[in-house]
Amino acid sequence: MANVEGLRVTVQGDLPGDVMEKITDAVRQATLAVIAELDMAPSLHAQSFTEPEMSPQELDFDITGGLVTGGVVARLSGGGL
Amino acid sequence: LKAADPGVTCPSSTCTPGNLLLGIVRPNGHVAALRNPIPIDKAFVDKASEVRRAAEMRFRFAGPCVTTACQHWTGARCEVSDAVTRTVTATSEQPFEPRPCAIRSSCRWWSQNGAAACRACSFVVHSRDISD
Repeated sequence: MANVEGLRVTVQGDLPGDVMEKITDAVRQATLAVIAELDMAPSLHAQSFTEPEMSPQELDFDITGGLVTGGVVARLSGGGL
Repeated sequence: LKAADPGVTCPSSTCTPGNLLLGIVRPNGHVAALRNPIPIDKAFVDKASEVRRAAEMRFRFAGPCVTTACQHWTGARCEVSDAVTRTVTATSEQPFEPRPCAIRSSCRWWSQNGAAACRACSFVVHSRDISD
């Protein structure tokens, strides 16, 4: 099966909820700042519709706060873009 | 711009605060959809504007369908949806199963052309760089 996970950012930690929210918001802003500067698109003069069907490619962007032991874990995995 | 038809979503809108980041244009020109579209704010728009090429060339955004305020509104339909659907339908013979989509229930293209519009969607880029 093709990798359908283009990007996943997870914030988990055994910390008070308001702290997790602050951290999550900070990670979200930092991640969005990086995404905003992405420029991977080719120079498109005309877009062909005749290319073979692609396997589904999805970019999963999900930032959630959660409680686990072991403190704060920020995990970023790239691929599929 | 406010939606002229409240509740209907344009899947190829502009980089405007309040709109949703729907996908990222990949190096092959196709759009990688975000499983969960992200509302964009002014900070994102400002950051995106620092890049030479417009955000609408690099990303896909969803926003309110503004009907008569859009150059692609024919008076009753979105001509972009019809055009891309027509092209893809004419060149695709394989069966197609639409993938999950966060905006489908309110999507203008879906309401006009159903699954055929979904098939075309990932091929669509809002803008191209005429200076390239």
